[in-house]
Amino acid sequence: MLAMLSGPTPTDAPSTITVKTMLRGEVAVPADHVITFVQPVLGFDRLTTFIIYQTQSGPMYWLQSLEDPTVSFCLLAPYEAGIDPDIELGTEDVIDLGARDHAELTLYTTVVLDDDPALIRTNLRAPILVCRRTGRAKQLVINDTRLPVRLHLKDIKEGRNPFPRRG
Amino acid sequence: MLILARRTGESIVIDGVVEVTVLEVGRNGQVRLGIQAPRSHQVYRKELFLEIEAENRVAAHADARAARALGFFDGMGAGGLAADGNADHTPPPQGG
Repeated sequence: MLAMLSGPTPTDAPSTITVKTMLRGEVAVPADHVITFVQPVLGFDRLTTFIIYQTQSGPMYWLQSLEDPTVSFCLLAPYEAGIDPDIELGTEDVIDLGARDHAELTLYTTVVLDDDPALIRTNLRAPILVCRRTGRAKQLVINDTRLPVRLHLKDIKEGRNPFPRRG
Repeated sequence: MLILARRTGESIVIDGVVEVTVLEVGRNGQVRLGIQAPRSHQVYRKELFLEIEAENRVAAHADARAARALGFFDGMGAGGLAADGNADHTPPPQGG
């Protein structure tokens, strides 16, 4: 089984589901790792159920659609990569996702991968917010022109980080 | 499409909760709108919506070939994170 996003630890044997993934073919994942978008990934309105998994250690994750096996996003956990977009979440975000507080929320940004490292980029303007406890998720659109739709990660890797993590 | 004529200072109301007011009509054809809406209603320029949608579509089909680009990320995440994939992925407390 793939390393999964940390979720609730069931006391009895969890039920598993089989998921077709773009990267690893069919994999079995605990049913409680399924996440549901209450507000869609823009352009993918009809897709609501996904799983998030990791194939290697580090800040990179995969967001795999359960409804369309060909839809698979690469995600970055920006804080883990030393990027702090300093996004102020509204109370409605917490409420929409059924979170009890901000600590239950994890923010990811979508990544465009490319053979050319100079083109690998992430979107800070429209991050994906997930409540780990409820499994609900949404793509936000942040009204902050400071945040680029295309942040080139080569710059971050080479030490040019306009959004350094504080503390 | 519903078409309504409005003058400067006049509004329309959508669903009883969203109010759009014409603030200024410039000679250059630019119209300034004021929008009052609950925070649960996301309001943004359509260009931004289209740009994000397009970027999502480019990002949406990360496959095994694209995954090879992940070598690019080796060594990233030195920002104090545990790199074992079992870290607590809680972002720092958000403002607000």
